[in-house]
Amino acid sequence: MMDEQSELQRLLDLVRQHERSRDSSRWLLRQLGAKLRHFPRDLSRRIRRSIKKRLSPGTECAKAMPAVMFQAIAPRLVAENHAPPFEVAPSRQMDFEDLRKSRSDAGASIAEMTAYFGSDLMRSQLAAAVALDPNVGALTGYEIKYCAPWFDRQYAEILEARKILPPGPYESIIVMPFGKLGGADFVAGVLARAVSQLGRTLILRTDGPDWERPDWYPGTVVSVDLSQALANVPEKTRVLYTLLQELSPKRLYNVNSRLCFEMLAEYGARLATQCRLYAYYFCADRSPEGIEAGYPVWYFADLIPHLHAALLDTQSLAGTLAARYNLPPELKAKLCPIYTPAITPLPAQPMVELQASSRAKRQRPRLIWAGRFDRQKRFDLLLKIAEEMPEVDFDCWGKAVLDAPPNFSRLPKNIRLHPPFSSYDDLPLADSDGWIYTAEWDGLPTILIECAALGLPIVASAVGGVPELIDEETGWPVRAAGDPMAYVAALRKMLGDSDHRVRKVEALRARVRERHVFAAYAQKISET
Amino acid sequence: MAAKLDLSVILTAHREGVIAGVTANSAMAALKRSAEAGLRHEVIVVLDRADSVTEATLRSAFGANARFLATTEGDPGAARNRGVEIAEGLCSAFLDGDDLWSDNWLVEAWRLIERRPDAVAHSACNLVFGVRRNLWWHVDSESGLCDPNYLDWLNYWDAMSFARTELYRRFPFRRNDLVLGFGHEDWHWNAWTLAEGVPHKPAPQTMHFKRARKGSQMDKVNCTGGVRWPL
Repeated sequence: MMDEQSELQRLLDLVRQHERSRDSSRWLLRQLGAKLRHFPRDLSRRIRRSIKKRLSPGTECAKAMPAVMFQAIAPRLVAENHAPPFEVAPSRQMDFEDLRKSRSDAGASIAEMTAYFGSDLMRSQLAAAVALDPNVGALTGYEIKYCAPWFDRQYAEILEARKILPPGPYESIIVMPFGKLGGADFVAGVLARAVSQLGRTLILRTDGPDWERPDWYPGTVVSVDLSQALANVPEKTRVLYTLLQELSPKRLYNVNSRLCFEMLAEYGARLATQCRLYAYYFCADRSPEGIEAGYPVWYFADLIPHLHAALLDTQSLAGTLAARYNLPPELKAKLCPIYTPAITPLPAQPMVELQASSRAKRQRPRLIWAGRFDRQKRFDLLLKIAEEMPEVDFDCWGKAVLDAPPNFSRLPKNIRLHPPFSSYDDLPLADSDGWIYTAEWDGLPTILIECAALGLPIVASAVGGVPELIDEETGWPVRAAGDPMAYVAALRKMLGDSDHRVRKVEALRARVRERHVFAAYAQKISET
Repeated sequence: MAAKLDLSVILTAHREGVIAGVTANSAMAALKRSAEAGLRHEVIVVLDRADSVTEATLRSAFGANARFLATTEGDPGAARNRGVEIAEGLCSAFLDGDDLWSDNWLVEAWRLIERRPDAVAHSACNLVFGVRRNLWWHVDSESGLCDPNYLDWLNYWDAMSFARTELYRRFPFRRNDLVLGFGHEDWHWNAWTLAEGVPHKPAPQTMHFKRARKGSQMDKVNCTGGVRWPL
């Protein structure tokens, strides 16, 4: 026993020496490996794996190696030098020391453990067990010693998260990645308004602290940024599941939080026994090869059996998913298309009437395009359209978000670029002749809903859910959505027929009044 | 109704094979100590879908000194419940078919429950050996060391507990659901009983030796990513 101890001490000295000079690391590892035959089987297996990994070709014997080996080899010495018979997570050290000092019962428990650990009694009990089965092994001091919850680093993170969470129970919890300026962020705000009418509601943000439009969310709803608390947690899905269990909502809504989708994929069946689960799905994205990607592709099939309802912003998406998976009636019944309400209330006078009165002042027709300069929105198509219509001015608002920006060096002369707008009031809507929308794929973008509510004549690509709003009755849909000449034809029709402009906008506003108002939305949410 | 006996040892076995023979020897060593302390006991072996080697091993070990109950529960908690149903001891102690006790366990747990009949006794610590190796200290739920909310995240105490038989009848184990992923019946049982005001306390200077095996009941639950049933 003493020989082994002194041998270990000698190796530890070598480890320390190694920390000053890395040259001997491979030799040192082999020396340590030679000692393994005397160690318990499970420990030796662990160390051998570590050595093999570190000696494999191409692996640099990292500086961290000696520390790892030190921990593997030295706990007996550490145990003998430092009293606590279990490990305490670094972030809990202060709490632990405070507790030890302030609570005599805790101190007494620790003292009892310390006295028992390695005592003659424990050794004799172990010897008796080993006599019954040698697999039990000796009490080497190499064992990891746990005393829950003090060793548990992840639980320490849960404790931190609990501090910032107002305690439950809640009627509804909405999980979203962050609060930015996107359509999904707006939808989360509308949803929060609707569900807050049903009872106490909490918003959890899982990916980032952004909270850029607090005015989109009702003042009665608390929004908590969990992203920082979750940042260092390895088992994020389990932690989120645990926290949600503690908050005990009756309804859980996921609006585009990937972490929440992953949690639902893993724990959805179990969580569904405790509350109603809802997931919002918006249109899928497309890869450069044109293949659909995103949450409706990745997180629908596994989740739909456990969801109370899948909330979809268009009928089109419902149809796509039902057909793709051949959904049986009971699962198809869970698809709940629900139209997003317009942000702004319908003005008494539609924009198309204001445009008519301002038209005489404009020397040339003027059209508005707004959106991201990304692949999806087909700004390149607009450039071709502008070239074909030199008699028309095109004012464009936006910026590249997901893709590299287009080449702006050779823009047609009739294209004018503007930075992104923050309010529809910033746009010259009354001093224009209509809106053009060129996306190659989409759901039903909130920007078109707003344009419809404001009463603008709209030419739009007939993709995804767009035709549910813009059809022959309400606007000028473009079926051949990749063909610039099809847009040109539609735009010329829109600009040339003043009677149709007004009639179609009236029909469009009637559709908004029927489908895209908050009361209808809230009613459907409460019934779902 | 007064109990006929002081103590029922309920050994649950499944497919442990001859390892169950080691467990039987460990149980007999602890029973010898408890008999020396004057405790009247019985041994109930619950063979829950047990294989022939396991059954033969345990019959060979205990012979006529145990009652054997064959069940088809396929669930560790449900098997324990069946043992409790026929237990005649004032107290019951569970032993899994591949684990070992320190020989003072039954005596120390008895003393603890004599003082605190409302409580559940656990070993002071578990030495886990086999495919994993660690030392797990059992905390006293009445000590400041214990955070009851931890049971939302993980378990504190294992199933090899000791308590009044009446308590086990009042709080039967809930079955695992490995399809759904609710498991570790002892985790749920501990959280449930603690929430109902039942203290969990370590019996001083006692030790259990828990064999960690691939394919064990615990391993199966772990493979499903098992979490506790909600309360």
